[in-house]
Order: sequence, then structure tokens, then C-alpha cells
Amino acid sequence: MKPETPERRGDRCSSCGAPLSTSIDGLCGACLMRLAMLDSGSPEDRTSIDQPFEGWPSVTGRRIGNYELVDEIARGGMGIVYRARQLTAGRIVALKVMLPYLLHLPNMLQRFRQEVEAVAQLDHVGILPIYEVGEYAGLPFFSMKFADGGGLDGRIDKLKFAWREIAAIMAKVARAVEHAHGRGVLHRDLKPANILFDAAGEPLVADFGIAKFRAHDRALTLPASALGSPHYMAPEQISAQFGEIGPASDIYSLGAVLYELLTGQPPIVGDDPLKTLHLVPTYVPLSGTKTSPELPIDLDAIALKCLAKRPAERYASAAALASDLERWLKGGEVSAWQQMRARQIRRHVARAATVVLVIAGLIGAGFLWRRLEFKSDALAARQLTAVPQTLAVLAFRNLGGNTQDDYLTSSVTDDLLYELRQIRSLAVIPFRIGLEASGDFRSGQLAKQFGVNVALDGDFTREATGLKVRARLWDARSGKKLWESEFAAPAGDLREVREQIATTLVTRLQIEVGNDVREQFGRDALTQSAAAYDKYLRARYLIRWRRPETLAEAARLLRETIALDPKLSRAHSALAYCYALWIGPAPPQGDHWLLARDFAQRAAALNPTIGEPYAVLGDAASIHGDLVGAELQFRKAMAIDPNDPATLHFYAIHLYSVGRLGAALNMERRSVALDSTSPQPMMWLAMLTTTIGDKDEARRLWQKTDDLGAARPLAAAISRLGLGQTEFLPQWYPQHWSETKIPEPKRDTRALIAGVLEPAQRAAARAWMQSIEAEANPAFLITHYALLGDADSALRIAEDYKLVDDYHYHYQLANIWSPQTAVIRRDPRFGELMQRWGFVDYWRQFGPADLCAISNGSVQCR
Amino acid sequence: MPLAPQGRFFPDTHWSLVLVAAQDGEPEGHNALASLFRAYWYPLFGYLRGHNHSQHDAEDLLQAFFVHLIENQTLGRADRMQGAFRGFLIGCLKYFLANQQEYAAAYKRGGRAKIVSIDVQAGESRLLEDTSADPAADVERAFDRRWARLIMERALGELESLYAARPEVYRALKGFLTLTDEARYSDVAAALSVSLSVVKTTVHRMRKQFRELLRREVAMTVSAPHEIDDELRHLIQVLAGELL
Repeated sequence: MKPETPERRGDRCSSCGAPLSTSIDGLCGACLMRLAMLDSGSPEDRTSIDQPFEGWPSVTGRRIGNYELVDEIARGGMGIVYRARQLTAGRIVALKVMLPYLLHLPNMLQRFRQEVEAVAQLDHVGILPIYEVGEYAGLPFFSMKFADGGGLDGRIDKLKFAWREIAAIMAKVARAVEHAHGRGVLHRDLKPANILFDAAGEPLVADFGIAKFRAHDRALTLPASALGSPHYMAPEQISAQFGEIGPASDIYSLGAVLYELLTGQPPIVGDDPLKTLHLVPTYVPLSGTKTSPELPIDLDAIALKCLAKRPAERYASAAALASDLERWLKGGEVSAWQQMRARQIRRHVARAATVVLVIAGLIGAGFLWRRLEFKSDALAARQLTAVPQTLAVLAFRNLGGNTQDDYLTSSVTDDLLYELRQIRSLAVIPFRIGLEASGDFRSGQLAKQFGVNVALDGDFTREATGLKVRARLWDARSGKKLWESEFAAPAGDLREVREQIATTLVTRLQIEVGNDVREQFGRDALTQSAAAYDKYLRARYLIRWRRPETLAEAARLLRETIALDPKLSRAHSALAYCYALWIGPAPPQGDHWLLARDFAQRAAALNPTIGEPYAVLGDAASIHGDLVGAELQFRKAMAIDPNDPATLHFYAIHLYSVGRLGAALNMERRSVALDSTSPQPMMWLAMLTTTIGDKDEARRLWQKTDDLGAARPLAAAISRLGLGQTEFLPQWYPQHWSETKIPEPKRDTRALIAGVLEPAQRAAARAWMQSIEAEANPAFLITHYALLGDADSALRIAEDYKLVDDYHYHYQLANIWSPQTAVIRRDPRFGELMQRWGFVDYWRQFGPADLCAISNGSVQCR
Repeated sequence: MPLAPQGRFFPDTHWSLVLVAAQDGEPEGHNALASLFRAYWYPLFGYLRGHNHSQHDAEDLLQAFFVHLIENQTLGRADRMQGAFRGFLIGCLKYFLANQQEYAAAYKRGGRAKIVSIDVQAGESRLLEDTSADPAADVERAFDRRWARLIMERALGELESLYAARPEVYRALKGFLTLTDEARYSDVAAALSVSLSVVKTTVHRMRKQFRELLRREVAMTVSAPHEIDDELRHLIQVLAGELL
């Protein structure tokens, strides 16, 4: 990297005189670095850089934008709060600046701005006002009124036994919270430290809504240590089984604060924050009167009512809580008591009849298409409303017979799944078996095997005016048809069909969905470009065939899709997936693994609620030898979407490569059960089954693999040796050679094949192997030396082999776990190899390979 | 493979939080610390080589040092984690080297596992290029300078990727990031067949973008926003040769 250096003048920069030995890419480093200092504040920045720098002096006097810092007040997992002087207004404010790491959460800036702007609209005497929202070095910040009176956390001891004062403060706080709720703003992190006091001693609620960013992304990036105190978190903030986060969550937190003020202790206290977190969903707090007999029982009842596990059993609003506290202050009877008694009776009733909410307005005006109802069995649909539902979506059939439209068979439904999976009360399982075995669900197979209670299938025909789609919903147990609807979409815009099926399904199933999910079904929610959507669906279909030519075509279509709609997260995700599966010549844009990783990261940034990008990232990490990292990505993907066949397949390959054969087999079996039409998962299932020695089953699976026309890597041929199916070897080597640097005359593998098959021919085979050693792929050499019984040579090659950037790694090295290569596994040096490759580190964390055991730090394999 | 991951593969999390999480034994934290380490290991490697450790030893030491970062709980004390990641890392490394017998032995007992994947071969070749232009023998200053260059390269890499669609524009204009000689604008405008005002605007925008990217890059390596400017000043002094 020694480009032209226009500024060279001797050895020094012509602008600043810095030595050019520190130049970067031909540019003076010091000049570049100074660029970052410009405009960052006052003019003295230019001169102050000349002052010697020592240590880390205090904050005082430093500038952040238009603010001069006085001191640091608080530092949390989320932001840092300074006392600062706002230079334009000349007043002292509290300045909260986001910590740098939050920048890297998806859409953070945009979400932060939206939320803070909403909070800035709040105008209530009990809410700490926000003065200004801005950005510094890319870090969002906002300034607030500086509350002189400190936080409630500092007053807990002082308030002890001051029951009236406690009730008065909490009533005011509840009124402030009610004001925000009325404007659609949740607090999400109410705790004593967020309740401040002004100079007059009036409470001010601070940090509204900010915790949203923390809560939303905690699974993504944040360590538990940055989560903050869980003492005030509602059960639904920890586990979705308690329902959505809503106003009732804030009411819970208010109850927790009240409880602490009354008793001196938060309601639930574990040994550490994590343990507390685990206790919240189950532990029922003791009545405060047990520890503080002098505590007024009415206040105790009010706190406990707020702390009910189920949101519906708490106060209906913050206003209701405020009223109860105010009633108590006036000496009246509080409502908490009678409601607590009634609640116990109601609880049984509520369990019997799950609340059902029909989405009105979803079937609204303005549809461009017509919908004909053939039959509807409202009663049967109502009987199915026990939540959660498990819905199987089967591939639709192409009745028109035009193979040009085949891509619609699974694409429309595949895509629908993305939205349906957002409905938390609905477990959605995609099945592609519809393609080959229509009507399977009527036999109850789905119900039995996967616990499915309803199934959607359908067919479509292309007509002159557009597409006619017929969808049917079945009761999987009884085989009874619940409804059948026909949709007609205008030619060229498939988004209509997708939206209609989704809305009809949701209405028919009477599933309760939130606004956010409902919006996703909207015609334009996905993409405003009909052409982009069509290209995207075609590409999705092509990817499934996993052949060099279909992948190349899919990548082309997806690049066009992204050009039409750069924000379509699924297109980025699909492109990542496409590159992850890449076979054949390298794509013109560069290394396919880097492309896969790049597009997966973009997809995850655009939409963190889809699992596929994480599976692709996992696959890329696994290929590059970052086994622990790969495992974590896969777990993330599985947590988002445990029923995605592609995720299961990638995960299975990863598990296979680290020798966790049983786990891999389970994953791949599930993947194939969900999608029996994709060739690659079938092939890997066949390989795994061969490796574990179930020969009859393996033969059956290889037959299916051949029927599906899977691409045939050499590794698969080697796996089949175990079944005595040797005829594949001569056929499959040539395909392998096309991907290596081995020159033509050396590609004659007859000696090698003879050696693999006949022990007597091994010496000749080894000699041939040595002749290609310089050019051959190390993974190829390792497995083949092992097949020839030459553990020394295999391990010699492995000694220098790095699991980095090697496309052949998975395919080839999976065979180190096969019965034919046991000779290297039994070698004592194999354990060292596993150490060096990072396998042992992985096994320690996630469980060992089935064929290996770790004892006293050494590894023994068989 | 690039030495440091490109900017878009940012370390996920603020460094001190990452360290605490890794020490808490959270797999996510371990992973995040590894990615942070992979981004910034090269100056440490240079430091070790500068102290006459062989390439092989330096690699082992780096791996063991990484384990040390995770396992030594005292490093996670809040007072140690104020300030720049740069200072923290080099401070810890020095402490580690002073006690390395103990750690190296533990590392060997653990089977010399490659805990974090780093390409020392690439680091070595880069070092060879680098020190040829480096008259100073002071290993610590060299560490700071390599650090500063790494930060700069990450920001420049980001900037370049912003211009990925028009690489020739980036190539032609990047020189103007530091050069104020506007007389040369017209040459470039002619070469790119655009008007002079387009060149001016683009250069102006490119400078702004770079400033922002660089500040973000630095933001990732400090523990609080008010430290950004201090760290920048320090790095400027390093690059200007004032601390040599």
C-alpha cells in the first residue's frame, strides 16, 4: 500500500510538518486526525492540541456541543448524565449522552429520535422537561431540567414510616405517568432513581421511554450487567408469557417503588440481579405488613395490587392507582381490597375463556380485488381459538400447469410466514411437503407429529386478468375444512394476495394482534414496488434449488430487487442466504462468504426480528473457524425462529462439523421434516445417517437425495463409501477438480480410488497423494490420507492447516467423523489438533463431540 | 484477509461493558471481547515484537493475554476502566508481561488453545513495512502510533465504503481530505469531467463524513463521550511526532 503522495516535502507534511512516516494511504495522519477536531466546539481546539496531554483530567470545563460540562452525575448501562451549562441559555441542565455502543444497535438513532421527540411533547408538572435533543460525535443526547432535589433513591430511609408523604408522592408520580400513558408514551423503567425532586420538593419523573431501547435489544447485544436493576421490572418485561409490555407494566413498577418505600425493600430481591430477574415471574412478594406490622394495610393492598403477575389484575390505569392513593389520603376506602377478592374468583373464569379479539377494520374498504366466500364455519373457527395456535402453512399448488409460475407455489406462503411468525400467540410452521403430498394433514399426521391444530393450503391459476388464488384452512385433527376463500390479484402485483391471505387468516383465526403486526400485513408495508416483490419471490424460489445457475440468477434478481427497494430487509437476508449457499464460480462482486456476512448484517440492521440473517452469520462464522461465535449466532437465530428449515439446516452442518452428531441429526431431521423438497438438507441428513451407521435408513435417504438432484460434492461420495456405494467415486472426482488448482495431468484419480477401495493399493495411492500435495486443498488431503489409513500424513497436513476462509472445510472435514477415518481420531495427536482448531474450547462451552471425551485436559476420541 | 475487520464489522459494545460481560462468563461477552480484540490486536503484536519476542512467542503471548483479560477479575474494577481502551490495553499488557511466567504456564497447561483468531502472519508482514519507515526505536511510542494509524485506517476504510459505488471519485478526491490547495480542484474536475463546484461540494462533504466517521471510531474506544476529544488530541500529537 504505497500510493502516490502528493504532499510529500522531504519527510514532513507540507501542511503541519508532521513526519510522513506516520502517513496513511498517502495522507498525513496528523492532518487527518485534526479534521475530526474541527467544528467540534470553540476555536481554541486548534491551539489546545499543542498542550501536553497528561492523564485524564476532570470533566469540568469540557464541551459537548453547546454545553459546558460541570460534572458527571450518573453513569448507567445506557447513558452518562452530566451536570452542564447550556451556553446559549446560560442555565444549568442535566445532559444525558448515549453511551457509544448503542450506536451499533439497529436503527438506534432513528428510534431514539422518534422516542425522545414523543417524550419531549409531554408537558406535565410531574414530568422532568426535556429542553433539547441533539447529537455529538454521532452520539445522541438530550438536555433536561436539572432537578436540584436529587432522586427518590436517596430519600428512601428518610421517608420511612412517613406513610402520608409516601402516598402523596406516589399519587403525584402516578398522575404524571397517567399523563404520559394518555399520549401513548410508556416509561418502561420506573424506579426510585428515575423519580427526582425539584428545589421545592415536588417529584419529577425522568427518563421516559428511554428504556425501550434497552429492553428491545437486550437479547441482541447487552450483557446482563448492563441491564440495570430488575427489582422494578414487570413479569411481562421479562417473559412474553405474561403478555405485552404496556401501561400495566409501568403500574407494576410504581407498585414496586411504593412497596420499597413502605417496607424499605423492593418486593423481589435475589442474590444478584440475574437471580432477581429469574424470580420475578414466579415469586409472589410477601405482604409488607409481615415485616412492618405498623404499615397501614390499605397501602399494602394498593402496592400488592400493582404487583399482580397478570397485567389484567393490576389497576386498570395509573389514574386508578392515583385515585386509590388520594382516597386513602382523604380517609376513604380504597378499591384495592374488594378487587383483590373478586380477582381470585375471576381468575378461574378467565382461564376457561381466553380473551378473543376480532380485528375489526382489517377487512376494510379499498380492496382492489374481489373475495368470494364459499363456505365458512364460524362455529368451528371459534372452537379453535384456544391460544396458542399452531398453524402449518403448506406450499400452494400450481393448477395452471405453467412452470413459469412454479415460484409461486411456496414463495407467497413462505413470505407470509415472516409476518405470521410475528404473532406471538401463534406458532407457525412452514411445510413444503404440500408440493408432493397434498392432503397429508387430513390424515392427522401433522397434528400428531408437530402438534399442529390448523393448516393452510391452497392452489392458484394464472388467468388473463391476473392470478386467482384459492386458500383453505383445515382443522388438522379432524380433517375438517374450516373455510375456503378465493382471492384475485391484478397481474403483476402479488402483494395484494399476500396481504389478503394474511388478513383473512388473522380474522378467521381470531388471533389477537397488535397494531405493529397489523401494519406489517399492509400492502405497502413490505415494499412499495410490485416489481421488487415479484423479483424477490422469484429469487426465493430459485435459491431453494441450490444449484450454481439458480443461485447466480437469484443473486442477480435480488440485486435488482435491492436497487428497486434498498430497505427491503428480506431481500438483503435472501441475498445473504444465497451467497452463503454459493457454489460454482466466485461471484463477480467478491468473496461469497464476505458478501453473505455483509448482507446478513445489513438485513439484521434493517429488521432484527427475522432469524435468517443470524443463521447466515452463524454459517459464515463456522466456515471461518469461529466455532463459538457461530454457535451463538445460531442460538440467536433459533430463538427468533425455531421452525425455519434453513436455520435448522445450517445449524446442523455446524454441529456436524464440530462432531456433535446426535444434535446435528436432530436438527437436520427437523429441517427435512419441515421441507422435504430441498436437496441439500436431504443430502446432509443422508451423510449424517451414514456416519452414525444406520445403513438401511441411509440408503433410503441417499435415494431421495439423488431423486432431488442434489449437487454432488466429493464429500458426499466419500460418505457413501460406508455403504459400499463405490460407483460414485470416479463420477464425482472430476467435479471436485474443477474447484481446485490441480493441473490436468495430475487429475487422474485411478490410483487413489484403488487405494481407497483396496488396502493392497494404498502405497500407490499415497504416492499419488504426495504428488498433488502442493496444489491440493488441505481438507482434501487430510480426509484422504485418513481414508488411506495414513494418520501421520493426515496430521502432518493438519498441523499447518488453519480453519480460515476455506470453502471446503465443511464438506471435507465433516468426514473426519466418519467410520472410515477413525484412524486419525484414535491418534493421540488428534486431541492436540482439536485443541489447536478451537474445537476443545467449543466443546467445553457447549458439550463435547459424540466420539470424544475430555478428561484431565486431554482429549480422547474413537 | 484484512488485518482489522472493516468498519462495518464494528465491535458491538462499548469496551468496558464488554470486558465486564466477558468476565462474568457470558458467552455473548466473550464473543464481543474477542471481536474487539481482533480489531485492535495489531499494535499489541507490534509492541511484543518490539520487545524481541519471536513471532511465535508473540502469538502465544497474545492468546494468553486474551485469556488473562477474561479471567483476571481485578481488571474489571471500575476505576481501571475509565479512559481509553488504548491505555487500558497497553497497561494490562505490561502488567501481564511482568507476570508472564505464571500466565504462560497456565496457558500452556490449557493446551495453547487458539482462543481468539488472529492472523499474525499478516501482522508480521505489515510490521516489516511499517518499521522500515519508523526511525524511532521507542516501542511504546510505536504502539501509540500504530494504534492511531489503525483507528485512522478503520475510519478511512469506512469512508471508502461510502464511495464504493464510485471508487474513482474516492481515489481522486481523498488527497483533498488534508490538502487545502484548491488550485488543484480544476485538474480533478477536468479528469472526472464534472464542474468545479461539484468537486468542491464533494470534497467538503467527504471531509465532513470523514470527521464524523473518525469521531465515531474514537468514540468506540473511550469510556465516555467527554473523553473523545482528549483521545483525539493525544492521537494527533502521536501522529504529529510531538511525543516522539
